[in-house]
This record gives sequence, structure tokens and C-alpha cells, in this order.
Amino acid sequence: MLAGFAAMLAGTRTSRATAPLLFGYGPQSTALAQSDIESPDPAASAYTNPASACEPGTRLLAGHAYAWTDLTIDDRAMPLRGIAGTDLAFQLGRRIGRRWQLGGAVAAHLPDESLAQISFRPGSEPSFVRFEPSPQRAVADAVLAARYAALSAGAGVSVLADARGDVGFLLGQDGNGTYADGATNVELPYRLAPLVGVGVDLGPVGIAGRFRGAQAVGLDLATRADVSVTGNPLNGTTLVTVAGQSGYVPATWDIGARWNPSRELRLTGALQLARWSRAPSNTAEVTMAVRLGLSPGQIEARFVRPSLRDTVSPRCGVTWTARLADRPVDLRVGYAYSPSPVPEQTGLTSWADAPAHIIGVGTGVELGQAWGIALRADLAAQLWMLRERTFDKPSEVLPFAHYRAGGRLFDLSAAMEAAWR
Amino acid sequence: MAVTLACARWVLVVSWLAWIPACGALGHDEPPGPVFRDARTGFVDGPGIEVCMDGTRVVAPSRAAGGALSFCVSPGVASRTCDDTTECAPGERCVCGRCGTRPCRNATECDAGEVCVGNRCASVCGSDTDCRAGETCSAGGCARRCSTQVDCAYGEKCSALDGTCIVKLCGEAVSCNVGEPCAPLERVADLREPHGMTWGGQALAFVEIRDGSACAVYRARVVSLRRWEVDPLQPVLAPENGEGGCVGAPSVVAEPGRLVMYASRGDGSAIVRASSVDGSTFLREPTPVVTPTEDWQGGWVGAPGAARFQGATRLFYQADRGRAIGLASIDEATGTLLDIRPTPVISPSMLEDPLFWRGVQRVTSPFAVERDGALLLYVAARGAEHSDAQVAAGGVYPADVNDSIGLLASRDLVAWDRFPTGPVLARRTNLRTYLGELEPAVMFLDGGAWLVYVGADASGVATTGLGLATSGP
Amino acid sequence: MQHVLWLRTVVHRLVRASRPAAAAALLLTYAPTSGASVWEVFGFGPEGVASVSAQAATANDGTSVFYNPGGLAMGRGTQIELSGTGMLSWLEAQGATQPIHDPAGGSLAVGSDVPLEGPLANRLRVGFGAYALPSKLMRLQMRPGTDPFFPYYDNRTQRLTVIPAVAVRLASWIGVGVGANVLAGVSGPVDVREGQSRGLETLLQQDVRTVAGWVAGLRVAPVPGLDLALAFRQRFGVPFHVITTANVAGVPLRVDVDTAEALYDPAVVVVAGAVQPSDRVRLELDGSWSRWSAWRGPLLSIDTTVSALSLASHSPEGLFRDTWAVRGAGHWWFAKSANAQLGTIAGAGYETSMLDTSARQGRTNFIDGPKLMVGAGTVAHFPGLIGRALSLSVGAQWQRVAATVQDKQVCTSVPCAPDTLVGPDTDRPGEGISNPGYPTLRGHGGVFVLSVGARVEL
Repeated sequence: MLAGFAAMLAGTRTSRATAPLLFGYGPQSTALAQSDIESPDPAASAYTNPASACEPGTRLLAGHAYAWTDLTIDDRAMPLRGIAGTDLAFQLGRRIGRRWQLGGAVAAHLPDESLAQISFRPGSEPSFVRFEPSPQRAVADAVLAARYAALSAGAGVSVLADARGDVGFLLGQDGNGTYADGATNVELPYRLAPLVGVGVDLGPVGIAGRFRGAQAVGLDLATRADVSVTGNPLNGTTLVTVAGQSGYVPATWDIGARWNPSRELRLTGALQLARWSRAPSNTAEVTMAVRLGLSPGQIEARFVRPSLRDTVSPRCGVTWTARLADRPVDLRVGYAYSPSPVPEQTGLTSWADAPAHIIGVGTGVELGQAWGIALRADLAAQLWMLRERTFDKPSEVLPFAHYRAGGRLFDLSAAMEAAWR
Repeated sequence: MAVTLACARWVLVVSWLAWIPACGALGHDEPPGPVFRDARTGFVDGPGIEVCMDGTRVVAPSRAAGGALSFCVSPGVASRTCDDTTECAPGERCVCGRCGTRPCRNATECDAGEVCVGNRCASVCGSDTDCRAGETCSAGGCARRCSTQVDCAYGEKCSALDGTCIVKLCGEAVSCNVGEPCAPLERVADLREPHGMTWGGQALAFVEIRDGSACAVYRARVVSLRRWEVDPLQPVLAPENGEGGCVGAPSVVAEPGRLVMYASRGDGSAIVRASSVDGSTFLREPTPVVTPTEDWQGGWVGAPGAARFQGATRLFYQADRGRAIGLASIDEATGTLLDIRPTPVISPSMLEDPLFWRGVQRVTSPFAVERDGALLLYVAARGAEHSDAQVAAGGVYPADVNDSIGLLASRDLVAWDRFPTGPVLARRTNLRTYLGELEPAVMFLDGGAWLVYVGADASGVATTGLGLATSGP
Repeated sequence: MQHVLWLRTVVHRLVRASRPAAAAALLLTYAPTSGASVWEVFGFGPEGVASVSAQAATANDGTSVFYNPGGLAMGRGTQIELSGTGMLSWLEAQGATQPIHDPAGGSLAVGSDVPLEGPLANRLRVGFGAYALPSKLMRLQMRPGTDPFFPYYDNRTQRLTVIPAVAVRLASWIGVGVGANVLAGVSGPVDVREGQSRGLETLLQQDVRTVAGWVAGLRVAPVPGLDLALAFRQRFGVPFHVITTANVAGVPLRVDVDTAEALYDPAVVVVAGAVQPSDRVRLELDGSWSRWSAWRGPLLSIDTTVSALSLASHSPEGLFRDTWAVRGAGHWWFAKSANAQLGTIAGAGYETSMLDTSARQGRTNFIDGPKLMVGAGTVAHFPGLIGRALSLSVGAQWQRVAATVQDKQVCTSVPCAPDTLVGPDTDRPGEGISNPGYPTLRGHGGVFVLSVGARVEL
């Protein structure tokens, strides 16, 4: 893993990728390859499993994740936009009586420098659908949870926003010469996705389930140009509309389990079903309506839905709690296999993806009490190794009739957590 | 000790809390990378290719209505070498590796927003403030101030009348002053049927240069993406007696230790072959390779396109001036004809598409290349892309029929796939002015490809020189 | 002698308080932009609305993240307030009503002690304020240059506002605080042209970039019953920059649409003082200065190339000026018992106009005038109704804009001055004027605001 990391740094351009969607939220989940559905860090429960948001205590998590990417098509580095960001989470739980617990949590992931990056590539160009552009946007989750005896349940929403509106400009001419004027009316309506989690804690074992609704940033932007200048070929109205769903993240169903064979050892496992088959086209629909003196004929391209495949991803993790200078230290390792949802390419589109082996390692150290606050530091690393995949289209004349996709991703995640009882 | 530990913890916490917001400030957002375009089909047009012959630029007859430009060169004014116009002074242009002035006879020979003043292309001006430093507004155009010849660009003279740099054109009718040579800037000729390749690590090109009814094949060095230098200055394949003064349309195949060129006679009576071991001296074989024998060939064969594929040289050729494309197979070792298809391999209807390419009437100039075990065949075909234009006052304006570049591919030379959405290169400008693209040749390089073609108007009659479209990042 | 001692104490403490204020001012000089939305225009929560935002020296709950984060340090415990605010416009421009789009939203205000031990015990407080529209995160609306409208009210309230803040109680009588206002702007290219599919394809990359700024404040209580406050809110603007390039059948088109200052709030400095002569009455007086003169205006900047024609828009300059405002409010608890307390709030204020009425406008038709603000409200406080202290409040405010009248001037000969109107004919530029503000630009009216909320003290 270290050798792979070193090779990546030596040969690749830096990139910054979104942590929670690919790598997990927070260092614990990153190290365990997202197998901790049943026993997440309570501070990260809003994202990982809402049912754990009622864990007694008050917790605040602040972390940062940074990833390097080395994705290639035909050995040529893909120009991915950066993905790295800050994790901020807060969880509050209280015990009510002997059997009840109530609580809530919020979790946010804020990419560095921008809250979202909405991007569409031309449909005929290759793109890694899983790694761009969904990683480049913020995540904001809020949940409430309750527990009665061994049963817990939580629910909430993940908040995002669409973008729609129009931009218009006028090029005109009056007695004083030409002039330009413009107007815009763009709004960002909310887009909510449901979050649901359940859990059963039977002491040394536990099982849990989680559902995260599908999410994307919808874009519907119209640009209108009204030109009325003597002798200009575009005199008239030109209307360009661009609409699409950027950065689609599928709905996921997770089921997880935990087994503590001893006080020091915890084994976790999970299965995730991702509903990629519901994915909309990741290219934008473009129309150009012109009403000019002479309106040219245009061809509008409509790219079909990608027909992605649902995937089932197994994950497992081991946490061993050691003691270092009388302080508990968690050592974590995780593995996951992530199949590719992208089917064979047969037409003008050239989506790239490959199955991946995912390995995570990490550690967490209790730093003790300071002025009434219990502090803990966590660190994790995760490596994605994509198994190179060759795409061969049925016809030689199709764009990118033959291409190979592969590469690696490497993520580092670190966080500090403060807890009050 | 406890206090020290507590302090250390808080230092860690505070520094961590400071690090997190700083992360956004530390990195910089990288601009989006270059787009990925398919090497075979993702061509984007750009500036054309400058073909130079002995320091002069070859221009098409349609671009030189008044003849080739030549100007008087003042003694003591030397030209600077260049690779690109950006290396020249403002107002100058890099022509065939040399910075010089931009002569003209009228404004149509200048760029948009310029006038032809003093036989120079100049920026439009109303006063000196509209011009660059060191220039003055003279007769509506900016002109460089001068006191001696040295102040002027190559090809200019310092006028004693108003102290500005002017150009004196010369030619058969007008001569220069004594001591001032008349330097040609252009040479009028038609560039046709280009062919590019790499051989021995060097990029080479072959092109037919046509002057009236006479034509021959010349070789050129590919100096840069958009500049070829004809070298040697003599044809590498010239017409022989009885060939009507024209042999051209070269297609060259690299075989072990030699180049094999296929070319056609101007009258369509045969496709001939020659070979070379040094790339510039070609020895002609006495016997033609292909002659028109079938009815569908219409007594005319030409424009060969050859490629090595599945153990033989496959020679595609144009028949009956665009009625169809035929195919002959040649033994690589012996050069003998293995097979010649009795029926057309490609017909215009194979490129027809009701939406993307309508009314395809003819298919010409095949260019064949092998890629990843498949044979790619680039052709020029004549049809109408896009739908008709709509007139605001009512009615339609039909889309002009024009020549564009299409692509077909096959793995067995029997079943052919065509590019599904019409031409791979078709130009349109100014809403409905369709331009023509003829006689394609494709060079595949690392990560991309060059598509060289002969530009023309929609009719295909008036050619405008060699164009270049590129694909890849 | 006692008065002298009291005065010495006050002066001494004020001098000590000035140091963190100076440090904060220095920090804020180099800090990024900030601002608020509906709170800036109308007030935060029912008490803020009723007191016409004369709260800088009074607020010590979650609303202080906006009014004065230093006041947050002077509070105790944990308060959570939810409120709804609605606006009704009677603004008129050229005889047409100017509505406020998206006129309703909800606010959340949270203030809480941070339960530390040791030297930081009872010193640190955190606050969180948020305002959200019911259906959208934000609306960004920039009008055409000739539209008559009120830039003071137009598209200044239609956005999510989130301000987390932290405050430190340096001593029992002094608190400082700072908050960060985070939002985002949009920028990036949109390219539409024929692609490899031969159809129109787009390359689009829009960045929703984080915009963050500061709100900072100082609160000093030199003696019991007297509070002095100094607050600063940095100027805020949402950047919007979209570059659209297209190829329309061989004709290149490029449009660069840009503004750095949509949803604009100017830099504001507030100086305030409040006295509490008894446990039933509290009076506050605020003075504020808003730097509107730094605003480039509410119009888009257009830079376009269509075929060979390049055009750029020209925004008028010098139309806006700084404003001064005076606000006063009184809180009176007229009924107090062990189970319930009832109080009333009244406020009034005056603010000068942000438009320089001496500057004549040409194509533009901005309308504004001096504003008179009157507010009133009621608070019902129940110390133990649900096992916790609960407060229900309602506040209303009426803002009246003085009438604006400006005669337009037509151009008599080209080239025309920028403050004149031009017709279509070069030879007769003063004829055929179609500008909606011609011949006279008129506007007046007001806005009514209502806010209802509930607060729980944990």
C-alpha cells in the first residue's frame, strides 16, 4: 500500500476528491472501508447510520480528507477536478429513563473552496462516472434518532439544491451607438433525500441497516441572446438551454453487522446495494433555438440513459483496541470490493469505470480529558485499486472504439473529536 | 506534567482547528483539463497548412485572382526567421519561416477590420491615437513611421514623401528600382491529394501540385503542424510521355526498406506505381497496376488510397469520378495483383443518412489506414448536412450540397460500418455558408491524429488550399 | 465622590475594552466579505423586528450572532428560537407595485454555553443563526438596466443565511465575539458547440464557490444597568460569473456575464448603548453607518462578442452614497409573576437614502428615499410551562420610504451624456424615447413585516 502510494505521488497530478461518497465519513469509516454501519462513530452517525445518533453524550467532530487520484484512460491521465474537504459533525444524545435514548446529529462535508462543482462533459467524451463530478460537492445531513432497549431507529434528510433559471442579454443600438444590457433570474430550490437507519444491539453482536436516498444536482439553465445591431448575422433571438443531472449519487441500501469476540476485538461487515440503474444521463441536454433572419438547421443530440447496473459491494473491517501508555488505541483495517456499475459501451458514449479493491487502515487515540472535554484523534488512509478494464465497442467507427480504464485513488483522512458527557 | 499534557492537547486542538479552514486557502483550484477527443473521429478544424516552396508560399488560384504577390526588397533590410507569427513584430506575419510585411492589392486580401493602404494590410484608424506606438494614421490605415529603411519590415520601403513604411509590389508588368530585387512571396498553384506519413522517424508529406492541366507529385518535409517545406524542389514523380502531362494523387505505403507510391494519371486511364529506398528518388514501374476494365468504373480510375492490411496491400481507388470506390489487393512481397473486386466496394448510398447526410451523390478520394486490426477508410462524399435553414419571412433555404469527409471501417473488407452521425468533418460558417472538404489524408500520432484535406467552396470547384483538422487532447 | 468613582470605573473599563475592539478592527480590515440578508433589512426574529433592529446592546441569545457577537458572551444557558418572518410590499415605482419575491422564511437562533472546565469555565459561548426560504436556497435576480425598482429591497432577502459564532467573556463586564457568514457564488464556463456526435454538445463546469465573511462585536457593561456595544458587519456580495461560448452554425458567440455584488449588503458599523433603569424597563439607542458608496450597483456587467462585434455594458457610477441611521427601542415588562411575564416592545428609526438624489440617472431607474421605521411587538415568557422556560413573541414593523421624484433629461445631440436618454435615431436622439422612467421617475411606498416566534431555554 505504501509503495502504491509512493508510485502515485511520483507520477500523478494532485487532485482532491470527496470523502464521504467514496471513502466514508470520517477516519473511522475510512479505515474500516465503510463496514461500520452497525457501530459507527456516533459523531458521524448522521451520515453513516442515523440510528446511532441517540448515543448518550455530546460530540463534535472536525476533520479533513484529502485524496490523490491517478485515473487513466489508455494510460493517459484523466483531468479530474479536485476533491478534498472538511468534515464537521455534531451529535447530541440523552438517556431518558432506563430504556429510552433520544438524540440528533448533523454532519456536513464541505469541499475546499467550493460548495459544489456542477459539470457536464460532452456526451461523446470519456468520463469516469463514479469519480466525477459527484465528489465535488457539499453534503449536509441532519437526523433524529430514538432507542428503546436494544432497538434504535433514526431518520432525517440530506440537503442539496438544484440550479435553474435564465440569463438574458440584449445587444441593441440606439441613436448614440450600440449598447449591451443583461438580466438574470437564477434560483436554487432545495433537493432533499431521505436518510433512514435502524439497529439492533444484542451486546456482543449487533445488526443494522441504512438507507440513503438518491441525490444529484439538477441544472436547468437558459441563456437568451437578443441581438439587434445593423449587419450582425445573429440579429434575432438565440436561446440556448442546458439541462441535466450532475453528480448523481445512487440510492444505497446497507446492511451491517458487528461481532465483538473479545473486549479488544471488534469485527464489522456490511453489504451495500447501490441502485445505479436509476441513474439519469450524466450528459446535459442541449437545445439551441434560433429565430433569426435566417435560422440555420441544427442537430440536437439526446444521449440515452446510461443503463448502469445495480451493484452489491461487500465490506469488512477489524478494530483492535490496544493500550499504549495506559491509553486505549484503536487499530483499524478494512477491505471492500466495489463492482463497476458501468456496462459495456456500445454507442457514442464512452463511460469509464472498473471494479475496485479497497483497503483501509487507520488508528484512533484517546488524548484524555482537557478542561472537561474528552479529546480523541483519528487518522486513516484508504487505497482504491481499479482493476484495469478494456472496453471494446461493436463498431470501429464509434468514438473511442477501444479504450482501457483503470487507476488508483488514495485518501487520507484525519479528525479531532471532542466529547462531553 | 498534567498541565504540560493539557497544554499540548490544546495546542493540538487549536492548530487543528486553524488547519481546517486554511486547507481551502492552501490548495489552488486547477483549471479543467483539455477535452478528450477520439483520434479517429473527433476532428476540430483550425488554421490551414502553409506549403512553402523555395521560400514562397503556394496559394490556390482562387486566392490569387491578381496573380502571385511579389514585392521589392530594399537593400539593408534583412528578414528574421520565425516559426510563428507571434515571434514577429506587430503588423508582420511569419510566411514560410520568415517575418515580413503583409502586402496586398485590395482589402479582400487582408484580415477583417483591416484596410489595404500603401499596398500593406493595415489596421483601420481615424487618428494617430487609434494606432500603436511608433505608427501614424495615414489614409485611413496605421502605418509605421520611419526615417531609414532599417525602421521598416522586410518587404517595405521607407517613403520619403510622408516618412512611413510602404510596400511596392512588383511582377511582370512592374519592376523595382535598380538594386532592389523583386522577391516573390507567393506561387500560384493548386495543392491536391495530400498524403502524410512518418518514415524513419521523420514526418513526410506527398502532395500533387497542379498548374493548369499539368501536375506532378512533390515531397515535403513536415516542419511543424502547419508548415510544410517542399523538398526537393523537383517532382519526385513526374508524368511521362503519353500521360497527358499529369500524374498525381499520391498514396504511399511504407514497406520494409522502401516506400511504395501509387499515383494516378490525370486522365484516369491508370493507377501507376513507383518505389524508393531514400524517400525522394522514386523509380517508376513500367506497367500500370490498375486500369479501368469494368463498366461501373466508367473508364476512369484514380485517387488511390493504399494501406497494408491482413498480409497484403489494399489499394482503394476512385472510379468514374466519384461513382464508387473499388478495391484491389496486391501481394506485398512480389507486388503482383492478387485480386481486384469486380464490383464496387463503397458506393455513395452507403454514406446516406436521412438526418445527418442527405442526398449523397458521389464518393471520392479514399484514404486507407489500419488501426487496431481494423481498416479505416476516410473518403470525401458530396451531400447535404443538417436540415434546411428557415427564413424568418417564411419558407426554407435549402442546405447547400457540399463535399465533406466521411469514415467507414471494416475488419474483413466485406462488411462496412459507417460513422453513424454523418461526416467526421464538415465546416459551416456564417449560419448557412457550407464549405467543402476534399481529398482527405490522416496521420495518427501519439494520442491524436491530423486530418489534412483540400479546402473548397460548396461547389467543390474553387479549392482554397490545404486545411488541417486535429483530434486528441 | 461616588459619582467620580463610578465615572472612573466606566472610563477605565471602556479604555480596557477598546483594545480588543482595535484588534478586531485590524483583523477585519483584511478579512473577507460578510453580510446578512432579511436580518439586515428588517431584523432578526420577532424582537428584532419589533425593535427595528435596535438590539446591538441588548441581544445576548442566538440573534446576537448577527446583531453583536460580543453580546453572545453576556448570555447564559442554552436558548433555541424558531421564528417565521413574512413581508408585504406596498412599494410603487411608476405606478406599478414592486413586490418582494419570496417574502417569507424561517429563522433559527441558538445560543449556548460551552461546558468547559478550568480557566475557560463559563467564559465561552457559541451561537448559530440561520434564515431559510421555504422552497429554495437562494434566488439571484439581476434586473435589466432600465427597470424601475428599489435596490434597497430588491433581491436582498432571498437567500439562505448561516452564521455560526463564538464569543468569549473576557471579564464579567466585557465580551467579544466573532461570527462567520458563509454562502456561495456561481462561476464557470458553459460551452455549446457541435461535438463528435455531430449534435450540439456542452462542456459545462460551474463552481459554486464559498463566500465567507465576518461579523464581529464588542459588548461592555461597565456598570450594572448600562451596556455599550460596537459591532461591525463586513460588506457582502454573491459573485456570479458565467461565461457562455457557443458556435451557432459557424458564427461564434461569447457572452461574459459578471457581477461580484448580487444580494448585496454594505459594510455596517453600529454603535449602541442600552440602559435598564429597572427590572421592567430597558431602553436602547443605536447609531449605524452603512457604506453604500462602495457598491457598484445592482446591474450585471456584460461583455460579449457576437461574430466580429464586441460590446460591453457600462454601469453608471457615483449613484450610491453612505447612509446613516438612528434606531431606538424600548422593552417594557408590564406584567410579572412567577408563572408568566408579559412585555411589550416598541421601536422607531430613521435611515437616510442610499441613492445620491443629486446625481441624475440616465437609462437606469433606481428608486430610494429616506426611510422611517416603526415597530411594535409583544413577548410572553413562561418560566416553567414545559419544565423549561418558554417565550412566545410577535413583532411587526412598518418601513416607509419617502417619495422620490426625478425628471429625466433627453439627449439633444450625439455623443450623448451618460445621464441623458437617447432615442433610436442618431439625427434626432431626443425623440422616440422608450425608457420606462421617462419623462419623470416616481416611486414611494413601504413594506410591512411580521414575525412570530417561540424560544425555549434549556
